[in-house]
Amino acid sequence: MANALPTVGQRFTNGLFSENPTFRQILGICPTLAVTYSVASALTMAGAVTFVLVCSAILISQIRHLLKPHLRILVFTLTIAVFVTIADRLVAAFLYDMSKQLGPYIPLIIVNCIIIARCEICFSKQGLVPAIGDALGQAGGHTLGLLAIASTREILGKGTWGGMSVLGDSWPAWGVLAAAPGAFLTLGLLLALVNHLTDKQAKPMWPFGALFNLLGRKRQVAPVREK
Amino acid sequence: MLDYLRIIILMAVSTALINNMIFHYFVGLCPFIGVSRRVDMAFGMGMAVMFVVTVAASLSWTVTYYITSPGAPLSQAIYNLVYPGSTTLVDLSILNYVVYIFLIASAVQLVEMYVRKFFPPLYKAFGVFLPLITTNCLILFVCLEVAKHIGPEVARDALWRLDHTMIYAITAGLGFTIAIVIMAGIREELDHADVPRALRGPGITLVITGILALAFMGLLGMDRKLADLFAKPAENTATRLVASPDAAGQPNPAARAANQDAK
Amino acid sequence: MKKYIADAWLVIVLGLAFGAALAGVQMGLGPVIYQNKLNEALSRIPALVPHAVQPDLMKVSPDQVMLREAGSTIYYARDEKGRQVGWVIQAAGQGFADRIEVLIGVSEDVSLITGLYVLDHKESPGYGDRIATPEYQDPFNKGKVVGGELRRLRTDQPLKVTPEKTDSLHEVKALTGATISSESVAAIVNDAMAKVKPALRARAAAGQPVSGGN
Repeated sequence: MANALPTVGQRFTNGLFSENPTFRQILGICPTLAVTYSVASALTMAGAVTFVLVCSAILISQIRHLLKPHLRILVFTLTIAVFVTIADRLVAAFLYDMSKQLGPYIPLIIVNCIIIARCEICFSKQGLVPAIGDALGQAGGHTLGLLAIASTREILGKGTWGGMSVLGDSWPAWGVLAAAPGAFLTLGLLLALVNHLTDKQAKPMWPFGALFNLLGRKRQVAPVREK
Repeated sequence: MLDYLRIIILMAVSTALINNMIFHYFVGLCPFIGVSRRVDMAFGMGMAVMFVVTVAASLSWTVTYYITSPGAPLSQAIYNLVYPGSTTLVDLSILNYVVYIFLIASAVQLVEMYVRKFFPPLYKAFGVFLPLITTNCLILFVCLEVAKHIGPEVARDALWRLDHTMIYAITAGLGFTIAIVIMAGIREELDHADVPRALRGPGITLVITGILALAFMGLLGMDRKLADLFAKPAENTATRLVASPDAAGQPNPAARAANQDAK
Repeated sequence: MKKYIADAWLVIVLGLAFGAALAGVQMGLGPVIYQNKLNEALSRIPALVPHAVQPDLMKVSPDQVMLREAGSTIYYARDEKGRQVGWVIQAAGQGFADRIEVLIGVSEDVSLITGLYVLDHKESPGYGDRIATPEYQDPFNKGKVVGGELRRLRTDQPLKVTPEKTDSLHEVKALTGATISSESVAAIVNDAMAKVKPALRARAAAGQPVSGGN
């Protein structure tokens, strides 16, 4: 720990933008794809992840001096599994319909790499306040990612947002976006959009330039495959 | 015997192709995107997952069936020893998630040690992937599916025995292997293509996965048609495990009896 | 040995604390979750069987609202005075995409189908998911108009799915573009009837069907 660790504010904003779990780190995409067919289920999932992240942040940052290096991962896993169980039961008790829809994807938060990565990178190294800031930032970033995908899929796939009609009845409802393939396509294209918007080297005419490339006007030599 | 073969075929088709872990359930995506650069590596990863998921699912079936499911024989017996005459149903299913994650971690360790000791060539082929598998959602997902098919709330013809669990786990791993090998094949060719800057890496992989998922959606409903194809007039209840019962056209004995009642 | 304990004391303490926490959660939320599960089916009873009312779980115990027979869960459907007016059968089977779970309302002598409700399905949006709409369910929930008269589907023969609308009380019209989903639901109904009817008939013969009423 030669360099100073990031402060609360930095941790929080990093989680939201520059280290966004969905679009930058590409972590935990299994549930991200599975629950984003509607905004309501995406928000439930985001809530569950937030709960687990914040609870683990509080617990792990308090016991961080007691952790033995070789038992570290074991403690992290145990903590996460227990908090996920609690989150799962809470959802089943108070949002029963959602718990039926989300099914196995709430328990799958246990193997969501975001949480264990945050335990390792931040919670076990910094105190309570930065840890909670980091947890909220990462959870916020994850929520933003889920919302972006879910809004795209629900609005285009069903013409509604959170159950409210947006595009009207005349919209032909692109059912494929609400189904499995739509999840992959939406995330892939949104990822490209985020990359493009944050890419400083990209030429302003990008979409047209790429089209020309595709049409063969400026075909590049294929890169040599890595050995 | 023939019935059993039928269960295997139906379950394999339904798990490996139609309800493919990647294209239908979205589980196991981290290795799917991370290790799909070359076909041989992808195949190694697929094999490793298949191996571990089978061990982990069998272990978790055993633990769930005997200990944690509601009214499990072992924990119920212990409870009744302590409180004789009580009619309470012992339910330890709240421990399921904690138990599974540790079972998976130990299964990975076990498989790694065993393979390194007894099959060195195999270890060389996919040993490096083994530690990565602990956090593969696919394994936990399969364990959770197993838990869903055990317990008093499950309809009798949907209950899974150990052999059903193993068939399910192996075919789930097979489906994953098929998906990741197809993807690696495409990505090898993609090295020669000029992908737009922004899409490079995970972006284009996800878009291609979407198109593949669209193709796999074409297989939907195949298991039902297969079940109808295999169906015999005298239905055996065990065969309803994955397949639905006979189509309406073939009355089964009970319905036939009811029919005579009506006349 | 001592060294291991010294190393692992944190894990042991955490394990005990977590165990206590989980036990607390189970004690607090377990009954709520169980209630939620039962209420999902119970709240449908009035819509599935004419004249039936939703039983109040606060007043009766779970075994007074349901019974397990032939591997299925069956709910009693009673009217306000506690008289048995029908049954609601919970059944499931393979659909086009995944398992379909339904509730089937039947008359007291199990000869007529009085309602259908899809609890859970993952059929394709725009096609198979229409099994959960009146387009498919009307013959089950309202009956068919035969000869100017509204009549219920009968259970003495297995249901058939036909491409066109017919007058038969053993046939329902398939959904266009979702024949397999339509057939799956009919097959689930047929299967449930075949399994449950003998059991419920035996119960009626033994003079049991109105027991437990209050």
